[in-house]
Amino acid sequence: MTTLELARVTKRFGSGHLEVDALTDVSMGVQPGELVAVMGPSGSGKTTLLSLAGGLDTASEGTVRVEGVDLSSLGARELARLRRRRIGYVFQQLNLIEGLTAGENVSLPLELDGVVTRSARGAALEALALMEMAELVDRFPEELSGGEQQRVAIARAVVGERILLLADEPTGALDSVTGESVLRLLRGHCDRGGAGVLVTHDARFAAWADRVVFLRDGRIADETRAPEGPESLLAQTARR
Amino acid sequence: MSVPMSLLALLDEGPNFGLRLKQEFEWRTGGIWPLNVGQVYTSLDRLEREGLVRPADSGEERQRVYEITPAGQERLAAWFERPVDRSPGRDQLVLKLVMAVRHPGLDPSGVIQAERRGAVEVLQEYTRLKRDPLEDDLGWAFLVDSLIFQAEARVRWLDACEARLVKARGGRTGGPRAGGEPTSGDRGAEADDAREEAVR
Amino acid sequence: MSVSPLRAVARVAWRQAWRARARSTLVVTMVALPIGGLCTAAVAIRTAAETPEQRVAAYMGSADLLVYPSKGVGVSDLKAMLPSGSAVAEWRSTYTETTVGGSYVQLFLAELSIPAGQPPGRGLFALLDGRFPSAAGEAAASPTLLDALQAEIGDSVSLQDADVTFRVVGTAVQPNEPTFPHAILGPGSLDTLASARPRMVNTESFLVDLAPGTSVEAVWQSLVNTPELQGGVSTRAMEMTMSFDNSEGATGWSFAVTSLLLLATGMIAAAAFAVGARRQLRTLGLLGAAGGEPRHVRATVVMGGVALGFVGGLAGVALGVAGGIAIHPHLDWLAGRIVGPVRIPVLPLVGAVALGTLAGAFAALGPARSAGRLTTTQALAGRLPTPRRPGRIAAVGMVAVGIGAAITALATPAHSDPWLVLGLGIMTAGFLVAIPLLVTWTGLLAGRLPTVARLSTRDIARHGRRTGAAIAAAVIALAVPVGVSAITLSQEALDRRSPQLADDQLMIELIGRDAEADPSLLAEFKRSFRGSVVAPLTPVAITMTRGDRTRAHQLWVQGPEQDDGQGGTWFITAPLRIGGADLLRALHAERAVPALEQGKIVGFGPDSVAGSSVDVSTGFAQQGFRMTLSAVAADVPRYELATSVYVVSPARAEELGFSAADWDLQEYPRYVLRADAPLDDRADPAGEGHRRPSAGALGPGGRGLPVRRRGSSIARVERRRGARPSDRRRDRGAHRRRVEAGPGDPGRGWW
Repeated sequence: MTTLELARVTKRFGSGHLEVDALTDVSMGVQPGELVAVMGPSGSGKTTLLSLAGGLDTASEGTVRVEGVDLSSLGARELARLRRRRIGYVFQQLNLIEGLTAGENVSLPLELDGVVTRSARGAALEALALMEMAELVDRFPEELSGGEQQRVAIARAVVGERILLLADEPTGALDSVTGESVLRLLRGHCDRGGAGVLVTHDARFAAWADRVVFLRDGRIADETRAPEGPESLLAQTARR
Repeated sequence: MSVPMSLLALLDEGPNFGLRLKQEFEWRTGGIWPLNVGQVYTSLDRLEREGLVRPADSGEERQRVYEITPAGQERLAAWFERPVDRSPGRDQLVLKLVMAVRHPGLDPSGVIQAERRGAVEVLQEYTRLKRDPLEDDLGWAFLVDSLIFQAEARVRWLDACEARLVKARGGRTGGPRAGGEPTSGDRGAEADDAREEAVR
Repeated sequence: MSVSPLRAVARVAWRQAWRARARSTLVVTMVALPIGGLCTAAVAIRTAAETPEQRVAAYMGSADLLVYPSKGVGVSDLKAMLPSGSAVAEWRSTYTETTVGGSYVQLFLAELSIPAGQPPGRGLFALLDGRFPSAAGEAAASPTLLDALQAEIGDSVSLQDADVTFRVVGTAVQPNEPTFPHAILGPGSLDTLASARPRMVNTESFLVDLAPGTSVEAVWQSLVNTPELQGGVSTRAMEMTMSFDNSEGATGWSFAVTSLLLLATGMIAAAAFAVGARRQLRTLGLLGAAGGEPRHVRATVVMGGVALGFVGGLAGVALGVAGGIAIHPHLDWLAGRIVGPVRIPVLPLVGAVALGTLAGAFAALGPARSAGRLTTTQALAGRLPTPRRPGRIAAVGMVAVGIGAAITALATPAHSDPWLVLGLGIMTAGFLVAIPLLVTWTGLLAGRLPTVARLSTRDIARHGRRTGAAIAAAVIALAVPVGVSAITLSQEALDRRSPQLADDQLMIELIGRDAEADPSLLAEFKRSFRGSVVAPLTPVAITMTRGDRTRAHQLWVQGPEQDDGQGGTWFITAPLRIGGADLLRALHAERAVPALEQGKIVGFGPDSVAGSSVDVSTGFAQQGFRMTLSAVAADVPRYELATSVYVVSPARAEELGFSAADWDLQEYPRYVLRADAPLDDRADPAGEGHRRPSAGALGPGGRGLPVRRRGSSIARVERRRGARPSDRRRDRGAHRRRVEAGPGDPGRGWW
């Protein structure tokens, strides 16, 4: 089943002569195990797309489906529940709540969902271990570096049984080496069966995706194709 | 492409003969720049002529073994120290775009997007190589990164070109076009018509 | 919300509060200060509240039984009725007054037939200095009395009028009335006076100490069945059940006032929470992105309020208890009696913490609602929506103002206090809630103002809610002093509007006086108040023979039955008086003179006579005489008499077989004086703290007038040389000087 599907989605802001179309007739899908990157200049609608994908906003036209469920058929509380259980967000920075430790930040969605604290902590520790951050579970965000904070943010976005990861310029505030490690983690999540949408303007990081979608003026302008047929010569010679 | 200097560096590690040098070169560069044997021998001849290498004494006469000379070592040291000469080589992509801008009846932004897509696809391939890192081969990592960064530079340059294009047409850059907003200037109208032509 | 999300949300709230320490401290302070005041009040009230033990000790000392006086029963008679080993003490008292150095002095003299301070009298008096009197001619006096007599320990006081002389051997007070001009005399001091003028000396009670092991109940049972003891017998247990403790009411009022104060300080706290929520926007947005619903967001803010309110409550309790301890030395003066050690009421303090927590939660409620209304995207971007205009609640407030005003207007003429309070309360609350709307309306004025004023007015109007909160806080702060003044003034107005006597009247009651009024006294009154009419309110009696006893019984009149407003009825019972035209004139009832001379009973006031007759009888115990006589109600506007008056003419009385009674049957001689002009209204200096009216007057409004009398008895005060050097300082704060504790004292010592 397609994890995320946008079918002819349009999002309009404002009204009357101030009306602005942030997205127009956008259709795309993300399968389990797939990492899709969305590239485009600022104002092309990338952030709007991500808001729609996670139910933070509703489409003016078209449907958004997560695991087959039409998001517009869900109420605010059910959408929130979806964000607790199946969808995770990672932002460019300030992802973590200052007053909570890394572990508490990661276990937050589960606790909000009613999971008993001890189990939630256990799940949080697992997620942090995947991100190689297990030793820093009791540190506060201000004690962590930018890269470490992003790792914790990703841990929170994937904790429990969440499958759809929505990342909005997660590497924006990081240097390239740290950024690469973040991308590896996103890749790892998808390799484990999750689905991810990565919004970025950096081609190097977009290249980690299975598919890159180009967004321009609210529309999908282009899309890279997966390589078909035998692997490229390059890849072959690379393997000795 | 400094094949001779690379061969010199290899010989500095020890005397060797042509075929072996070719294999070693290709191995070190991951097969990205394959050499043919003729190229190797031509380079070796040149090096010998310049006195940077000389035939080594070898009992066997079948393979022609070369070794580096002191002059060669000096030259090699100098090569490592000084930055390489980066005079811009002719770039096919740049040429393509330069021509497309002036070509009547052709929309450069379509060319740009196609190239961008291609560049990103290439980037994806290179990135896939990085997925299983071989930690102990630093040289390999440098090589892959160089490919990646160059491809990325290309994409960024394409973005800049497009931005210039949009600005030249009088449209707004970096923002969604409000429905019904007029484009100013005749050139814009011309270009819009041209685009529709190209799409069809 | 189940436990886990609540815990998570509370954790976020608490950590955020900890990080914004300055703001949190502000909120905590805003809660702690009013709560602190409340707790100080609660501690003071509880400490000052009279325990049943204290109350009982005040008139039973340490006795097992209290026997009220009965005619013909003396100490030896009583002793005979008790099992052997019992100790009986008679408590006698007398009253006299004198002038010292031109000042008017009242003296209340008490005498125990055993040395005071010994059981069963232990606890009746508290010794402050010196010692208790042990023999006739000694006395321990209260500091008030010694001040008035200008005497000290070691001095001798001689009261000719009362035929009493005593030497001051100590300072002592009644714990419940420390400022009373009281002296406790040694056993036998009043014997001379009692034999010469028996009616001057009253037996207050008999205190009985039973031998240890004797059953109090059994003795009580036997005494109650003794016919001679008509006065009654009481045990400690019985007296304790009758004690009156209004500390709960006072504590309740403290809570009400504190709640009002918290309303004001709560607004400031709410503003702090609003700022906090704004600063935390990113956090709240992350909460939403992680799957938090608006109710989680709201809960985060509210839990911050709960936490800080709780801390504020605890801080307030600590402050309050400290305050209560600090104020303790002054409680004697505030309460008007000697209070024991500090007592800490647990339940009100727990309630105070709860109140503080609630206040914190309420203060955070408004900001929580606003925060919950933000979308996650807005919060993440740190963008605030434009402030909403004040809506439904403010409109409801305006309506409430109208309703409250209407209720107040209706309740005022009806003198109905509960409705008045309700109306004012609704009006005030409605006004406070509606302030944001009013502020917004001021924005309409903005157009007419010069530029600078226009800008600020528009800004204020745009942020109606925020400005409104500030204004409301200021209003509440002002409301308290204004409210207090209003209540005080209205009470005065009420007093003025329904005085007990007319402007030109005096009611004279001669306490401790003989039946035959001193004619010089009346002449003196007439001289002081020129052109006045003075008439006695002579009681009426009927002589009846029952068996072999002939007695005079006072006659009482029963007024008409009235509805008491609670489903029951009541009626006035008042003594019948003999009087003529000048009594009626003195009572402003000249127009009833013809009716009186026709032989009718004249009642006063519209409720005094129903129909055209009243019942006359010999009192509650229907011992045989009852008669219905025709009567008329005299129209006396403007004043109500403290006790109703019914008058019968001498001629008619004789016709019916009634006669003028001796004064000593139930009351002291009373006279009504009517001057020819309104009298001055001056406070009675001797009336402070005394419940019994001074032997002088009740003036308009029931307050006493100073009565200057020229020297009828002079007290001679002799100084003794070589007396023990005693401490001349007399504290009003008597507790510090207390040497001996009475039985009511829990024994925990003094502060």
